Amino acid sequence: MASAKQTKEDANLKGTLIMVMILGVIILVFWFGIYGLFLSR
Amino acid sequence: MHLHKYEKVWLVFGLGSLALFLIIIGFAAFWKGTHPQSHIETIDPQNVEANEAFQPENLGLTEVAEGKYVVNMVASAFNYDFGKEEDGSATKTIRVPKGSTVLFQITSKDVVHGFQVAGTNVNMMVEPGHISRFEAVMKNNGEFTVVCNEYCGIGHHLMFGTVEVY
Repeated sequence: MASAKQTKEDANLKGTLIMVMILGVIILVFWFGIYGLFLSR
Repeated sequence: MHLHKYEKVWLVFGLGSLALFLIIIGFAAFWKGTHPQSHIETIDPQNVEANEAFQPENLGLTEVAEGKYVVNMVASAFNYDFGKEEDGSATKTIRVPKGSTVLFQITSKDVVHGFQVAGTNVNMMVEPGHISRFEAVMKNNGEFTVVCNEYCGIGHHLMFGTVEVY
């Protein structure tokens, strides 16, 4: 938990960004992988 | 409202992906004709022969034009009726050349069945009272097993056939 003093401005969201991007890339790879399978069969 | 700059990054990324998926699906549905297999076209399941396509002599594979085929089938517990061979025995294998466009038309006389040509995109539910249609281009060579993928009763596992693309 961020301390009450910490404002949104200096919240460190770097880890969150990395995690969100990893999940996003996994979703994109699976989506296009499955769509590619659909197109190729 | 103040947004952290990273929040803006993932919002744009998330909304952008959503928009991209919707555009591709919209293109497939409206320009490429990808749609559900049932067209709300009804048929009397007690009397499927009333429809020309499902009369016994019209079952099975018919070439309607160069490279275009129609396959009429009737599913019932626990069999797919693919018509008859010249010697009078029941057809179990549908043979089509590679690259041909095949329209599969099927209906059920009794309960809900499935019609899946495993390894291809041909996969439909077969409901009594409805006609299911799926047109596919057979792009790949091989022998594909047709399976019933809706549990239809004690002999469910005995419902199968073959589509051979040569």
